[in-house]
Amino acid sequence: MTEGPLTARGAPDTEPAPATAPPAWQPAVWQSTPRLRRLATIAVAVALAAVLTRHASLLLLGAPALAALAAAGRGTRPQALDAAVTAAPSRCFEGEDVEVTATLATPMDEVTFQIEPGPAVELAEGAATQVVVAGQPTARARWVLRPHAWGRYLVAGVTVRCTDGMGQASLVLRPELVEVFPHPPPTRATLLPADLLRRIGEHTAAAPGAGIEFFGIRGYQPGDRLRDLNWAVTSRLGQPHVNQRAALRAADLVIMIDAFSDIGPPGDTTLDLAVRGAAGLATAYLRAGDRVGVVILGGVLNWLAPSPGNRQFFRIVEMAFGVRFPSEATPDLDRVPRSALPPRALVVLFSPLLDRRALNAVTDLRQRGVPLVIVDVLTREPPAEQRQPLSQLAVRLWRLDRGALRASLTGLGVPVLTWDSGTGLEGAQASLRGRRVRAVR
Amino acid sequence: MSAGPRTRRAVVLLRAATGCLGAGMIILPAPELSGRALVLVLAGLLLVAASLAGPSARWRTVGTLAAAVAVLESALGRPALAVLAGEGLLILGYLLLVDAPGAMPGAGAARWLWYQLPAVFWGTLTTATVLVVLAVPVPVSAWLLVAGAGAAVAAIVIALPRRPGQPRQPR
Repeated sequence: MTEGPLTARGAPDTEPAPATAPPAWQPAVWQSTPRLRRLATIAVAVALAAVLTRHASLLLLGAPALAALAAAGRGTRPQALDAAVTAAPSRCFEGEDVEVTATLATPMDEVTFQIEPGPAVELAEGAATQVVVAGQPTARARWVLRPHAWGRYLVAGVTVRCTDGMGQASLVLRPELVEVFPHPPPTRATLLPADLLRRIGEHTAAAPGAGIEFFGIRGYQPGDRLRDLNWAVTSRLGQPHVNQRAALRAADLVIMIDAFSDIGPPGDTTLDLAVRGAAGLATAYLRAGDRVGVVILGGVLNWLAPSPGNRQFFRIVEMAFGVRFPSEATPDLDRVPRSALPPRALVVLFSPLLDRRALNAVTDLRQRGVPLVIVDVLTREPPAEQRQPLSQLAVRLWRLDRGALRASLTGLGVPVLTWDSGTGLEGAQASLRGRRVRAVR
Repeated sequence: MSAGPRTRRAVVLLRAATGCLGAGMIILPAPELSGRALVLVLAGLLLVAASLAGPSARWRTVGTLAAAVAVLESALGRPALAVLAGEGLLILGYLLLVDAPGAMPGAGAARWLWYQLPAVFWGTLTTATVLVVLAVPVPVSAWLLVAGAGAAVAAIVIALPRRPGQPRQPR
């Protein structure tokens, strides 16, 4: 199966985002400007000084301020302002640009737009604060943001400060939520279960078939193609022998995401890494024509039955958008229907191996005879104080505990791979290259 | 992401002009001061500097305090009428410019300055009028003070918000 690269704009049910949203009337609360307060303060101070010192000439100090106050227009001060903010496109991958445009169609003397990007969102183009002075019917500001974390979230908030005469109003505008898909790390579909499906696919099976790779040699049987004759063996043994080729079969992959733990800075947490890894594996297997499903451990148990095609990638990612909500519930894998966890499916669990409930799920899967691979996504150690021996000792004990946990899982026949976001998933799979994952009860 | 070079240049020029006006309003009445009152000059200059740069520039009170120090200097030194008139205009210019929004490109800064001209014009005209009135030798009268205070109250009442109006048509 050869499909083109995944693009967020080609996601199912995606409509092109409008360049500018229809303006909306936002209620405005008007206050006096800092300038009015300053000029009034100085005028009052001058009048007080003149009275206290009985020196009328001091009024000369406050006269310009008073004149400026009187000359300034009061402004229109409408109850609502015609303001809008848009973010386009509404769907993108991590690291792609999102353009945020804020407009104010109500004429004002001075408009200040200030953007506050969300966590893990970089301001790639445009000054954070932009000022538009009167003279234009529509005040407009534009920024380019670059989100570095997946999810469905608010990429930025825009504060609009309007000054008209000696009045000032502030609005906080929020664009529509943007769906940021995880950037799939480069990888290939090399993790395979020992027993592949009967379906035709792209993986070399341990059975003779009509594939490409050499499988073995057997005696000629009526119906065999002459071009499969192995002439060297035939001439040596005096009997016709033919080459056998391995069958090409498909595989089912079920990706499990441990959402019980979420540790790390925004945009680079263990859950961020797990979903990126899941996106990478899903992309690789779907491109190979395999079926991919997902089970999310954490909060409410969610699953998606294995299915082929590019659309499945977006279904998986959209399901992953909802993984972040805290829950004390322990997942009951018996509730996962047979179609979501089909027999002979390879299960890859992305987990930081920190929560006992995730380890219970591993035990459950193992007892059910599911071929399982764990990808450890915990890449950071607890911080240790350099000058405190007890702190360093605690970190060493933590390392030993992690090592013992991983060794015990490996001893049970469950391979544990370590993956860091800085490398592709292929490097993490290197230790299993050429090996098939077997179910161990 | 920082602002572009044009915006930076406009911001620097505006700040420099504000600093000059601020320093002028502090230094102009200084020759009339003596003794401990000279401390006000130092405090005023520091406040002007603080209102232009550094984290304190975000506190709007700093600029008002600097102008108040200038008023205090004049009240203590009691300089000549012409000096007081110049001092009032310097205070107005400083207070107008210290409010200038940052991150304006060159054209935007020029347009912003253009919109400040009416305030400067009316301030100058009023100063000239008051200067003429004060220069005419009249006996000291409490009515003059009452009139000044009344003008201050009237100006503030005119400028204060009353009720929201209708949005105006685009220009």
